[in-house]
Amino acid sequence: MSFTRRGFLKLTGAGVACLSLGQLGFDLTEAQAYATSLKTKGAKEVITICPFCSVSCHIIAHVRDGKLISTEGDPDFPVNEGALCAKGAALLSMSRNEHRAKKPMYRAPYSDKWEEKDWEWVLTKIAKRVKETRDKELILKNDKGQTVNRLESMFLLGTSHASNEECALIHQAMRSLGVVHMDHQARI
Amino acid sequence: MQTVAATPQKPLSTGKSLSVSQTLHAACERHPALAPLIDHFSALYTARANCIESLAQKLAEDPHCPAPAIHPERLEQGVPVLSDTDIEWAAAYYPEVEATLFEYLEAIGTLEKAVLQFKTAVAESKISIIQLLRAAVDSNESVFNKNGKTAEIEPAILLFITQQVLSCILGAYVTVHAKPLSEIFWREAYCPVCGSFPDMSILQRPDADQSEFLAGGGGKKMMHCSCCSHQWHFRRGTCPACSNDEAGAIHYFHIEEQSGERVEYCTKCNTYLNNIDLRNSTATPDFTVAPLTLIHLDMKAAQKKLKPLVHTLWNTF
Repeated sequence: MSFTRRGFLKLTGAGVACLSLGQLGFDLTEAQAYATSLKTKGAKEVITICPFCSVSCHIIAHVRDGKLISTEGDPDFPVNEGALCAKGAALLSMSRNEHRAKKPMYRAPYSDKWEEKDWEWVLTKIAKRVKETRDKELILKNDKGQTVNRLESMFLLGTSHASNEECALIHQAMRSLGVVHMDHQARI
Repeated sequence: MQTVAATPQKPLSTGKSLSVSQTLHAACERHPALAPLIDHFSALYTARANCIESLAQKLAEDPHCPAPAIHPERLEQGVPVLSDTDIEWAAAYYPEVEATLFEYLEAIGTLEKAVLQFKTAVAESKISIIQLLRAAVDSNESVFNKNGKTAEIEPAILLFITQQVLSCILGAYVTVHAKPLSEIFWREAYCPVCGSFPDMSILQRPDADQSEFLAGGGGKKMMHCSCCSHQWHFRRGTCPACSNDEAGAIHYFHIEEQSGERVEYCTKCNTYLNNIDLRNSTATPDFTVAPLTLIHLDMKAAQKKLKPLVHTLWNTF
């Protein structure tokens, strides 16, 4: 026998294999009517990569009409074999949780209330605070008189949601300000 | 690249296993409109399960039944175990299948006359059971056309009856040699034992022996062979018909509120395969008869102009 995939398809195609219940005398009218009355729901499975850390566990995302409706660990990926950490398992809530922050929120010093702010106000505020801190705290020289240009009172926490290119840009921006304390969300 | 793994596939996770009649009864409760149709096949599939169990006991003690010849090089090239091998031993079990199964087969629709003609043709050596079994494994259509004329049986019905015989014998073969066959690492969508396409896929429950520190939720996909009932692992996200593995290749739909049974299809080749997600229930159905209980999904798929991966009695309209 010459073994080919096509060979298999011979008997599963439209040839000899197409024996039907109708040919055997079964009346499928009631079953067909029942099937027609049933309402269906659908989605597609998209295998993607968890954005939270460099382990890069595979996740199966269930997507309906362009919206994420469910996630599960990919059992075929050798690294995680379907298992997910607490962050990965909560991935769906990142885009679906109604309690997540959807707009910039600001809490003034000593206040106990959060206020909703627009992005322009927030970015301007952050820029001012960064400049004030740097102008005030930048260490130009160390005890030996050597130039160091360090800003030790500011800290950057990176995110796995940033791409390599974004991370490089953020890193360079912080270095240009003299920031030396940096870490990554994936280590927390 | 295909390789032969040394480690066996993990067995299906535990759950209450349902018998053929329990599986069909549960389906009738879920879909009362299908009960008249499903009831017709209850006796046949119960007899088939009993026949497989009985044959398995005999096969285990039969010196003429060869152990599976597992050659890594052949498997790596996608050649199933029984391809090109001698299956003459299988014909020796035909009389028992005929004795235990055919009376129920005769009761299916208008099959009685054809089954009697089949028995007579075999008894009078007009057709060779060895040749028919070999032709079914090899997908040799011309043998069924030729023998159909000789025995005055429609080729499609001749193939159907032959498949019933072959399913019993190979079902027993797969039961007896479950361990070595489960150790085969296989990446194709057709069966590593007999080469048939699957009639259904199954999403497994979580493995019972996984790490307590990082537990997965299950969902490993197993294909169920439409002929010998062997199960093998297949990748999620890949179309079994055209091997399309682009992101979002696999679409699916299910009946509202019944997400445990679904139709998975590829929009590139328009082919579908029914799926049962075991994570949605504590009971494990009998997989040989489960495809029949999904006939409403086959009808829905046909309404959506989808093509089945393998034609069976349940999905050809």
